[in-house]
Amino acid sequence: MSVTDWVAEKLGERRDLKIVGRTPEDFLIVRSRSNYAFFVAALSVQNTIGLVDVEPLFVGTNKPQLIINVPSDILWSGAAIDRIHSESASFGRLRDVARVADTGDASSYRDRNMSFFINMLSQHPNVSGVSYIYENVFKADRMAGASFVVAVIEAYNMSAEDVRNARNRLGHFDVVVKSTSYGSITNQAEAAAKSIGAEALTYGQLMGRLAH
Amino acid sequence: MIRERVIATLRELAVALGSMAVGTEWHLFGSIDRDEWEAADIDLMIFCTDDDQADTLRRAIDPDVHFPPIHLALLTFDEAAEINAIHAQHSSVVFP
Repeated sequence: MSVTDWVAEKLGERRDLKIVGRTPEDFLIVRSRSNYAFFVAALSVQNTIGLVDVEPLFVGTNKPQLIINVPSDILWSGAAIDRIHSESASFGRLRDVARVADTGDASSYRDRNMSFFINMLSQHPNVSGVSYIYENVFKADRMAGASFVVAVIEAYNMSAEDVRNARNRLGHFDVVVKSTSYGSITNQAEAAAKSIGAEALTYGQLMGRLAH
Repeated sequence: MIRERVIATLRELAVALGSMAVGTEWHLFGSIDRDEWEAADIDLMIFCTDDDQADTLRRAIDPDVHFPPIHLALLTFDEAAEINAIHAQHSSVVFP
């Protein structure tokens, strides 16, 4: 079974989505309950998703509006993300298909939490630029002070395992921050971050840290 | 409906993990625990006896095996108690 077949089968289990066809490029044509239809390309990259993986998706007549990868925990490189966005497309996980359908605009879809962080970092008075390293890791260039690598983890509460897992998956970062301002960071998470030369911070703490 | 199906699936998974899951406590929360059919993922917290068990379960559990996929949080019992995770997430124990 191809990855596209697998994705079609999984999406077929949902009541709120319908697979109505495929393009010659083997993109799924997904329709929402509100009759919004969009093209979904499915990748099955096992290592980091790079430019070389996404370039071929844009050479045909039809262009994907959403690109997903299975397995979902594979990282998207900054170069791949920039290329996708330059084609007015979006990327995500299997779960994002339903979210995109709800928005009615696949091309401009962005993960809500990551968009929040990019905007927040970009608007900070001491930040001159923000770039993707991975989909949830950003380099913030500061006007005063060295650049800062910020890893954002999707967690309501941040545990020590979240910190260790982030380091294993993402490599170096200066700060690890939760994607939501609600919830807590455990004492063990703060200790785990300190042990690897990083800091585990809340959104508010990150804003202060960027200034110094 | 979906809540019952997910709980059955998670219990099967916990049992299949065998000794890796001994002593853990699995908590379902979020939209599936509220039985909302169109949930984007399965919000699951697993309380572990120690760091090694948490790291082992992270490696062992494939979040994509089921759909919706699992959004997994792993924390020790001490951490869960520190932040009062059960109360904060309004979670339900599904295993053991």
